Amino acid sequence: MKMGEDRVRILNMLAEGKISADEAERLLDALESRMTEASAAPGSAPSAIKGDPTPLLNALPKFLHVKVDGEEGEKVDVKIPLALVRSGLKLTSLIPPQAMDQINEQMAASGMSIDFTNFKPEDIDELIEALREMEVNVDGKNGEKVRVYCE
Amino acid sequence: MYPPMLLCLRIGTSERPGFGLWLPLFLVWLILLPIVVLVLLITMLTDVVLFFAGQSYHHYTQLLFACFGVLGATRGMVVSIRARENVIDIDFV
Repeated sequence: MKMGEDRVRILNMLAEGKISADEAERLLDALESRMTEASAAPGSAPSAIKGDPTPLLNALPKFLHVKVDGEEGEKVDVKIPLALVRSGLKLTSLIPPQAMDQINEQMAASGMSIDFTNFKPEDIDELIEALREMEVNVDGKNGEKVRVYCE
Repeated sequence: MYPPMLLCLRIGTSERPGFGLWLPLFLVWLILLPIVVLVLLITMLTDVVLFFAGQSYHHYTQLLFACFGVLGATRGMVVSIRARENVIDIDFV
């Protein structure tokens, strides 16, 4: 399958409302990067995505799950759209420098020395992509469990 | 991306499912719309003034749009709490 067909397929999925504009953009980026890799490798086929691109789309994480099982049977389940994380980080990169300095000072005073001025909009997608691999499992000594993962 | 139109709130106990409330958030957005338009005009004016004054930061309009983005991205968020006696479900639709 040629790259043009893959592109048309992604655009059709966008037009049919199966994927959002944001997801389409990421798919097109992935398509281009695969094409670049394919052209760099000698003797490689020109195809970027073979068959249906839906598996690639499904591989993109959409939600951050936080699940807590308490020692007495309490359960907390929070499903946060990763779009919210992305928007939040984008918002962080637009905060005025004076306000950002104050935020950084307060964060440092609370023991979290994260410098938000280093957040750049171009790094956000990379960070979200990296979250796909993230999984945190905490088992407490009284049977409580905390699980954080993306899907 | 549209903001959540409904907030589904369900409160009950482990024995009884309780009641569910569908709160029409779209009515809140409609009420807030004139204020948002006004704020948008002010931020645009501020950005223009800051730009011509040579200030490096003149992105208040972008900041406002990013706030709308955060609001819109809350759609799909689900919070579910099952305690020994109480059950609470919050769903942004």
